[in-house]
Amino acid sequence: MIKMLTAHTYELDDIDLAIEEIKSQIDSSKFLKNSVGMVSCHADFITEGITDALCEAFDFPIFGQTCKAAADKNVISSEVLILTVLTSDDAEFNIAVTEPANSDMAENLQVLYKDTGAKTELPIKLVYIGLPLLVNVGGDFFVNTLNAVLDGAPLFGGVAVDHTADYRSSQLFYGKSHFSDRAIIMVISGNLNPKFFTADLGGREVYRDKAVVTEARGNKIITVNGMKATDFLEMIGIKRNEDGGFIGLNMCNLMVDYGDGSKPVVRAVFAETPDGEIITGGEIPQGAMITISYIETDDIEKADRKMAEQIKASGDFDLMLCCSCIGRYFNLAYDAEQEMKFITDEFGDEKDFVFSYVGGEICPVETLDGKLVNRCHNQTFITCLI
Amino acid sequence: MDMNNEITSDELQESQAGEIKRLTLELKKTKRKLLSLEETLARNKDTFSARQTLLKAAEGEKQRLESAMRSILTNCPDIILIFDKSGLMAFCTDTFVNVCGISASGLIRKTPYNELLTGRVSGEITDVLYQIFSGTSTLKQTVEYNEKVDFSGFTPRSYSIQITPLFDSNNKPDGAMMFFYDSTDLNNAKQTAERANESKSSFLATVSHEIRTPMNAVIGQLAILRATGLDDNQMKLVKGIEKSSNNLLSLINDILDFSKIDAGKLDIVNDWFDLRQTVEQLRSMLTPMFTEKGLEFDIVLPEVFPPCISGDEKRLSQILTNILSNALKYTEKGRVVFEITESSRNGDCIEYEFKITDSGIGIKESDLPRLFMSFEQLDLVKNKKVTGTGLGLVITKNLCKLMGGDIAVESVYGEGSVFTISLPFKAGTIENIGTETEKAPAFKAPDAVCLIVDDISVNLEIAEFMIGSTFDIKCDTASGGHKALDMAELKKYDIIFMDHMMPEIDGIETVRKLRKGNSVNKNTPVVALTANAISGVKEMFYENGFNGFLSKPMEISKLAKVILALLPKEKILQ
Repeated sequence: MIKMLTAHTYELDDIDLAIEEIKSQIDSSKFLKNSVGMVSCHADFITEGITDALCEAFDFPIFGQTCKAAADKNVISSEVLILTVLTSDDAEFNIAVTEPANSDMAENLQVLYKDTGAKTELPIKLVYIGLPLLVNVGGDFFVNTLNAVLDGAPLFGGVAVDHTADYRSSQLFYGKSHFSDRAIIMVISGNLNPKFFTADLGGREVYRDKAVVTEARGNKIITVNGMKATDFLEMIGIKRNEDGGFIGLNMCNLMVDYGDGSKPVVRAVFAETPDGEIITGGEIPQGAMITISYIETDDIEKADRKMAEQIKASGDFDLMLCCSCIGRYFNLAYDAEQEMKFITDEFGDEKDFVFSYVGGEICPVETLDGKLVNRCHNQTFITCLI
Repeated sequence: MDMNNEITSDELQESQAGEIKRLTLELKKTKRKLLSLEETLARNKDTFSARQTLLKAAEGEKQRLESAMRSILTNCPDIILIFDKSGLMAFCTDTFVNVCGISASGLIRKTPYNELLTGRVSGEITDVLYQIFSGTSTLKQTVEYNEKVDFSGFTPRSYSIQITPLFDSNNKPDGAMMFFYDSTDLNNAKQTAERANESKSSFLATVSHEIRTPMNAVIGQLAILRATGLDDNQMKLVKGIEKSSNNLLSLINDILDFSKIDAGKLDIVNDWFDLRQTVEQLRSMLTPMFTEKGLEFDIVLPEVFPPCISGDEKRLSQILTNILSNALKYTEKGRVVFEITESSRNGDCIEYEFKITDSGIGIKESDLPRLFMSFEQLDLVKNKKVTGTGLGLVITKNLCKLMGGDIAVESVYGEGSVFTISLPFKAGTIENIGTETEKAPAFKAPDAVCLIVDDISVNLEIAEFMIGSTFDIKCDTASGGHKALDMAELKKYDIIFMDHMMPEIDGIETVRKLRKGNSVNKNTPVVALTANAISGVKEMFYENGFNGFLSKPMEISKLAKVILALLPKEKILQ
């Protein structure tokens, strides 16, 4: 059994005050045999040294990543640091950090997982993952790489984002080490039976006609219908501002039809490159057909309600780990906190939860024959119940 | 504070410093907050702008689709009906409204499908629609029906009717679409074309028979004339006429073959034959011609041949003769090599490659694409002396294709050409071919009597000459089926040769009557004679009571084999 304790602070300028605030909210007498701290925070908390001090203030390992906004049952904010402590007598938490992203990343990641998994004799029940936001590599890469060695273990987590327009400050940390090009994995083994839920969005097609991805590499679209990807976006009417950047690029979603009979999936558009390519939230193969779609706030609310009903019908649980896509946050515009308020209203009274906005959601889905398959999602609200 | 409880300057300074620090911190926090708010506002502004762009684009697209839909419904010449998931009519083309004589489509909007269609289309169609709208259908794709439908109440028309179940973006049933294509005119045109095709086929068969028959008669009578003891001069003239007649027959055969290919009526008739024997026949026929022209002619064969192969021996000979004849025509000096190799084998499927290499004039690279085109003769200036219709190669190529193979050519102008023909066959065993490949021994049958039946007197003359002079068999003749039946009542024959195509009563009907009757010739062996061997005709004769089959013009060797097989043994003298 795993228990969750949460605490938060807004204090950025007075480190001691920040730590004091956190400590005052956490009853250390409730710590069990094994504990770990997970942090979701605004990037300034890392740059101002708050997270370093946090790691010194507690005896258990603490890791975390930047996010756009976060919530627990007591707070909803885009300028907060939330510390989530997972503590258990019959579960173990083993954390590892990858090498910086390079050409050997796949092999390194697999070896790292195996080595980390070897540290526990208990059965591995969940692998939590925090991913860096990389230009050339998306969440799909990490999922596919780890799937080869996970031996069926479920993977859950998200890609770090931040408050900036181009996510330049997005990063992760483990202890006092901060990085923007490494991933963190936490292997949770022992007495737990996690359940997973997703609330994905179909998106509404803008155009009936589909375009063809004529050149792509990983999560980068190079050309569409034979023209530069950015030229294609301009052609369909996405405007540029005075600085030359696309206005509201993150509002642009792609419905991707792989042409293999599977349901089309939504892929967020993250950024453009100087070469006229666009970076998306997942691998898009050459030959896939895409269409531009948009999201209505009603769609988000409907999807979240449906997931909440499924969660309530699933039986009892102790805690919730929640991640939602930063794209949904932006689509909610002036009611950006809608999802976080919804979860707080639905579950905050009785359950412990932590919620953060990420840029690529990692969560397993159930296939028709009942198996769990790890996937990287976009525009999706993912939940892990323990 | 000092002794008078007044604040000292140090304390004041400290207090002020503290206040400044507090205010500075507060200012920092406020600035941070303002920056955050500014970022949020800017982001929301961008979001709103981008959203408006997308919504505007979506609205524009929606209007474009609506406009297109309106245009289709107004202008489409076919009948399209779109029903919603309850089976009520949602949209229809104006054509439907006009054909039914309805004043406006609004009158039938939301009309149930069965009210619109029952009595107009078959029950099968309304059943399919019922299943779709009741949710019991498993149909995922379009189904098609062809029916006569009377929308107007006056004139039924033929329609190709397609029913397509519709599904929404969540793959849930969302109605159905019906498409009625008026195929009345198309059907009429098809019937006209079919009749024209039948006429063409009939013409081909008639012309084939009408031209070949007198030609065969000429060639046959020349053979008779030869045997009458001619002097050298007369023999030279007869040979000249024979050569011209054979050329003309070959020309006519080419034209008829080309017409058949064009009409898709040329049949490949497969039977077991000995390839080695076929090649030897070609060798016998062609070697003297090559020798006469001073050319070397070599044949290279594989070491092993199967006992027999299944294929159209006649057409294979035609192909090889054509290419070898061309090699002879276009080679002035040097040699021609004819090589056969087994290019692949898979079980009893065997592919042979027939390669003819000559040292002739060659073909220009620019002419190669025209090589297999009809009526084309290349390099007319250089080849003024070469005769032909220009059909040989196009027929050859088509025959190769029909037989499941192909022909390729490589050539160097001025040096020579290599034609490679690849054809698949089925390898057989000795049981397949039996003793058919063996040459019939020479024999006479002076005690045997045969009846020859043919409506054309010259054919009777030729057949009588061939059978009588070669085998000493006594021959009676009948000019038609009725005459033959009368004669069969009166005299016992050892063998009957029956032409197929005859007026009044044809050969098949004659034999049927013979077998049903009680004459002394009820069970006499009958050999079918036909000028037109097409696929299946041999089997047809056997099924109708014939015992043997010969194609015209008759070949002595084949005639001998048939007679040997069917005559009573005691009448054969070897």
